[in-house]
Amino acid sequence: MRDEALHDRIARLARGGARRTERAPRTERAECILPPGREVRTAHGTFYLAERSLQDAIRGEKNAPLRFPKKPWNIAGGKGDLREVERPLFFDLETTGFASCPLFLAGTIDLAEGIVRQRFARDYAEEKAVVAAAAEEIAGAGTLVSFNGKSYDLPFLRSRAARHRLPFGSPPPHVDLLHQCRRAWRGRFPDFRLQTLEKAVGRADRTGDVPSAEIPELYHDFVRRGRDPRMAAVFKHNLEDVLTLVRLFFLLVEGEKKGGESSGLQGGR
Amino acid sequence: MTSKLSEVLEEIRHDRRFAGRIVHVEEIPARAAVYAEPEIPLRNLIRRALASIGIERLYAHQGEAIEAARAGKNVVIVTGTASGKTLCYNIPVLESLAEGAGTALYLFPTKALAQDQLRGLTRLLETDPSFAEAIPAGTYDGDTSRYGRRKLRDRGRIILSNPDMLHAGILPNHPAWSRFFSLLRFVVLDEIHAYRGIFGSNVGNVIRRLRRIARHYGSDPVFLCSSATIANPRELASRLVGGEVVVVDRDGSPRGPKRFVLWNPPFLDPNGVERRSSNVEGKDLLVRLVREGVPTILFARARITAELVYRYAREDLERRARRLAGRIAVYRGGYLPEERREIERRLFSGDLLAVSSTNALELGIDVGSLGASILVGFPGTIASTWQQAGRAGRTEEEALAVLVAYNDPIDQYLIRHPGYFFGRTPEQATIDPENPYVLERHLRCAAHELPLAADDAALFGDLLEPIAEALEDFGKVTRVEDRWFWALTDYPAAEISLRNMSDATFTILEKTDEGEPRTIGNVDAISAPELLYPEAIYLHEGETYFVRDLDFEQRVATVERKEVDYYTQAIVDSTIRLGKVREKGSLRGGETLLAEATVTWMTTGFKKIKFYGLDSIGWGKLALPPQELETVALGIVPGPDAADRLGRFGLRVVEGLAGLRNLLLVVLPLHAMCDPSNLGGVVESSNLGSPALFIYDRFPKGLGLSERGFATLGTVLAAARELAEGCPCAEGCPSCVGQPRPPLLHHDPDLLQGDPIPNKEAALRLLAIFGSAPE
Repeated sequence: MRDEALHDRIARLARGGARRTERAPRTERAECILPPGREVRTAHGTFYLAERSLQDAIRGEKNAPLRFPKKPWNIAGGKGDLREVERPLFFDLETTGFASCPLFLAGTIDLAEGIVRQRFARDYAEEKAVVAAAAEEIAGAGTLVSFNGKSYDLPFLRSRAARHRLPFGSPPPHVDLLHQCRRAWRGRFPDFRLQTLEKAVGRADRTGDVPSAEIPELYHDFVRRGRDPRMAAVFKHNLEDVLTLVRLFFLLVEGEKKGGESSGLQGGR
Repeated sequence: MTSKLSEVLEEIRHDRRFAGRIVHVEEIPARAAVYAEPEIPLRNLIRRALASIGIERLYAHQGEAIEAARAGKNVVIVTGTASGKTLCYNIPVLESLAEGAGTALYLFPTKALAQDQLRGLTRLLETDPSFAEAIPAGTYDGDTSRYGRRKLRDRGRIILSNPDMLHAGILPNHPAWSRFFSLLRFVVLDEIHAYRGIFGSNVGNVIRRLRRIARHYGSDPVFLCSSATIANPRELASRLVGGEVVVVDRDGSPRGPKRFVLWNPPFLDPNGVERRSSNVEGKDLLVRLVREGVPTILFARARITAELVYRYAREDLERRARRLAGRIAVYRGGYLPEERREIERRLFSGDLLAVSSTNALELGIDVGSLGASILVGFPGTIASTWQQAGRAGRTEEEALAVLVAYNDPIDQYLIRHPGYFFGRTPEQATIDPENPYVLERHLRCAAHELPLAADDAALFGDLLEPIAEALEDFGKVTRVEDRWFWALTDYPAAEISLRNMSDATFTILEKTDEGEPRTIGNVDAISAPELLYPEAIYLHEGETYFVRDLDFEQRVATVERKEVDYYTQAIVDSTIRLGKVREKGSLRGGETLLAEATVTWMTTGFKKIKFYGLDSIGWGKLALPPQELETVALGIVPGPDAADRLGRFGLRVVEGLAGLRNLLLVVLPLHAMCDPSNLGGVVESSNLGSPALFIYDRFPKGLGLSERGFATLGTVLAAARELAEGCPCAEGCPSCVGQPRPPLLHHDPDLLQGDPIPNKEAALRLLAIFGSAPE
């Protein structure tokens, strides 16, 4: 229907008329509906940064408290040997589709600093600065920890960096928890999607969550209208995902300490 | 060998069995080579590579093209077939790439051409191992494996592809190609005459998108184009690339003498109505040449005809020269790619002596050295005729081209007026990248690739802003500061086809008694109901297959091998139904309208035709779902007194309208900037109760072509009058009122009598009634 009206509009243009005279005013950016944060200015433009301490981020969670295991944090490397993970940076992207589409939110947790950062592009023009900042933080990390990041998030970020003609150095060692969980808990879950594992590690509370499939459209709407109250829920969704990475990571580290036996699992099958 | 072909022709001329066939022989004199080296000599590396493929000197046009490319100028090379056009771009590209880190993108209108050209390029590269290693080259298309694609993206320096792949596969994923684009020095556009009409307008926009992406990654490539002979190569090339282009058309390649023969099959009856089958005549000539050892290509107008001639020729050779029967083949669209490659290879190597082909071999696939080209029927345009005739006669040897006429009005006109044909300039190729409908689609794709900015108007024209605003109002893009960003999760290029027809294809499955069915070919969705209806005989490599079933949902035709002595022809019924009238206008003696229209065509039955014959031996009825095109039509409706006013001269309105239709199909494309094949035209009276002419866009929803005709009808009718009056013919010819809409694509022209050339006077008098000429 809409496309037919658009076709008519083009038909009027073809006849030399129908130039638009005025545009509907666009509402201004409304930071008030986003989690508290600030605008960051960089050489690549501005973006919005919601930054807080890890303690602050998990306060008031209904889930079990976050217990840091004792170091060293060993995790299975290739060929069954263990490697020690130092200064891990957990990261997770929110995107609008496949790599030819923009990303808009990069969530990271730096455990050494105890800081959660969510870098957000309030519109498409801010994506470049988000990509640059996220790439920079990743390059400086000791170890990168992701869930399916080897196939998705990292190539995505690299592709968007190429798109913006930004340098993208070789990333630090990368622990992909998808592969780790598959190895540690083979056969114990119907699938290895993050949401499935999340329930198993006792983080079932996703009240008010936005389904992943709706996120791209939601973001496009947000940019179109300059605001969308549901964007706060996307921030929360992203935060939950990165926190789940931390918990899964700890669980795997504990498992290794106990000689591969994975304690703390719930609801496995 | 040198004198042999003329001897063969002399023998044929004096052979009683061929008496009276040859109605005209045009002698095209030989031409000596003109050599010219570029000012700064070629680098040794290139010189050695050329020497090892047997090239010691460059022709004048090659030298000229190299100079222009070195100077960073866009070029279009317009020289004959087999004049060494490929080297005009391969040399400057390799010269530049050998020096540093550049890349080059080659675009061909078909996958087959890209693969063929890769073979030629590889021969040149492999003359030196370090060369081949330094310049990885490969084809990137639908047939490329995932691994191959990745390798080419990451390391390829010469990519051979097609506009469709660039549009839907490469540009939307440009970040993955950032290395390739940032180093892009040259874009080669081969055979640009194929990019005519709406297809060309689409390709022109893909090129603009390519230039924008290249600019984003910091490169500004030079365009090296080649074209067959057309009336306006400079205009076409510069519209395609969106910039100035230098024409190189002084062909320095040598040419042996060529004879172009017009051949008319004899009458079968004393009354002079029916003529002997032109397909059988073509076959006789083919067999004769093959038996003389002359490598020959035969061009048929339809797939079925290529198959028939091949079948007849093979049967003939099996009887009379069995050892030669295996040295001919048939080539056409719809065969599996590996089958086509095999035929191309055998033809090139000389293993095949002759091939019966559709125009699929008209484009520059390297077919090696051929002595003769037989055209069964006029291909429809002067440009195609020369292109097909040019497939024979490479280098300095003699060559022969024969046009075997069908017994239809156009072909017979050519036979009666040989001067018409040989004196005529080839057609224009018209495109309009700024057609708003076409542009709107590409601006979606462009916005998805990189945000649109007002200064992109330098590439896309002044409609950029109003179209971007329209896209914004309809939620396709969002404006952020001064740029429009794609604002949907859809992937716009996936929904936009560059070509006229849909990309959907039907698979042809052969059912056998033993084992799994096997795929023997494919056919586009639009042609399927015309070729593969139940009970049809499908010809594949000259063998007869009986069609059991046509499944529209699964897009599968199931056939089985069955020996029969007939072939089949679909009976296709086509209608036009007017919908909402959008606008009305008037002429002095009639009315005009612009309306929505639904064009429907349907295979309602079929005829069985005995091999070698022209008469049907049976028929069948079919109930297949109709195919529909919802489009926009321009209507021209003569007033109520038109019949009387024409009747005074013994002329009829429908005759005048038929001539006017053909005139408009020549003239309107020049005003609406499209190709005649983008339009359809019919004269009928069922919609309005009186005879009317309808011209419609052959695209869903229309692309503003008929609309343009409606808006500028006064000018268009005046141009039609000018064309008819200025045409030197007496009663109408293929250039004015004559050439009707191309007949059904898949019909054997042998069986179509063709519409008579409409009366020129009727068309002129009708134009006078409409007020565009003094009465």
